[in-house]
Amino acid sequence: MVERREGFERAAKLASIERREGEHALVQRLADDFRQDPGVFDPRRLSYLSPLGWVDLLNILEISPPGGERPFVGGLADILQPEQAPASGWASLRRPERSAWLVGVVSGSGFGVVVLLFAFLVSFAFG
Amino acid sequence: MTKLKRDLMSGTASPHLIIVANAKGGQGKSLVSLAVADHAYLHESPLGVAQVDAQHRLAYALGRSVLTIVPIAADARRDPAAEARSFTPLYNMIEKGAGRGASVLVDIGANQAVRLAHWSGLVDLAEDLALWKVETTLIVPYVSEAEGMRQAAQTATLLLDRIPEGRLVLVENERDGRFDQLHAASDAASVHRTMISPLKERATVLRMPAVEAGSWRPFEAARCRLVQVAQMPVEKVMNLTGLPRPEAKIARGDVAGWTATVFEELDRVLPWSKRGGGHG
Repeated sequence: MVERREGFERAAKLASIERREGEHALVQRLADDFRQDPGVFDPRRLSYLSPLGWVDLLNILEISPPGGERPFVGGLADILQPEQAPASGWASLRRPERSAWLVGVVSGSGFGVVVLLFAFLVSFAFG
Repeated sequence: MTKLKRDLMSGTASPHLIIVANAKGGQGKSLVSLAVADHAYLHESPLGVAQVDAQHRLAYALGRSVLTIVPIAADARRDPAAEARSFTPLYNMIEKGAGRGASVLVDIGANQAVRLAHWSGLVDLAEDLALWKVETTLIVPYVSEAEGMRQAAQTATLLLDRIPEGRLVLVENERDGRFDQLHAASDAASVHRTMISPLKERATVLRMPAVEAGSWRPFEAARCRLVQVAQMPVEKVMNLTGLPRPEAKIARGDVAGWTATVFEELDRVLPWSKRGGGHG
């Protein structure tokens, strides 16, 4: 193989090893930041993680899949504190949808009235 | 002594015309061209580079002289010969390259494949290539979406019609997903089955993995070449990209790993590679 190509292969291997080291350092830092204050954690920083990095991060944060023994350990509370009221969510903002049939009849009638009015005005104007 | 010098002395060097084309944009043509140019650089193989495009992406990325043939649609309407004349510098480049045993890479921009096909038919390029003993490799990249594959098949068919002796290389760009995971009922799977699969019978198929989304972009913006990234000290990557150290190492590693994989794939088809060889 040509010398330049061999040099590239060596550099690429080294870069891959250093990538893993970099990812390990990033995972550790992300976990620390998340534990410190999940509210200000920027999720865009997760974009550099590979699937293996994600697994490492979830392991460090001790987050297990749904149904696991302890879903959240560390920065997030396992159990709601008595003074913490459950979040009300979006339920209070919901409004019942309008009936499509009713909307159709009303808008159709409105359109008909406008057409009749227009026809009346035209006939009145031209005689 | 380089392989090329040895080949020239032994008379086994064979110039190649490498055309990278897909009539649809955003299929990875420029990235493939960049990878081919860097592969030639690593193998110390002389390569002339040309692009038929209004954009100058390849020239910016390579940081070297690139022959650019821009569209002249308005002139062509008035004087059809002007269209043919606009390709004369490319013709000269291939001819001179053939004389020196150098290959030529041509990156065909979106919607420009028809122009090249029309011109090559007009000047009977296939006959001249045979006369100059220049072998042609037609590289057609596409992502896993229906229109990209449809245009890829049409581009390949069109150019093979003009250069029948050309060797077809299909590059499956996995940027938008893997091809073996296309849903059987999807339009993309249908196009792959009906238009791409028949071409595969006469083509070499290369896999181009997805490069991690955020990893290549900052290097591309800084006009880096693929081969430079792997050898770049991490401090320089940090300065160039503005990334903190861990993210800089990750970005560099992603690009280096991706480039190494693509080079291994290109080894199978590029003439200056030991594994590539000629046609057949």
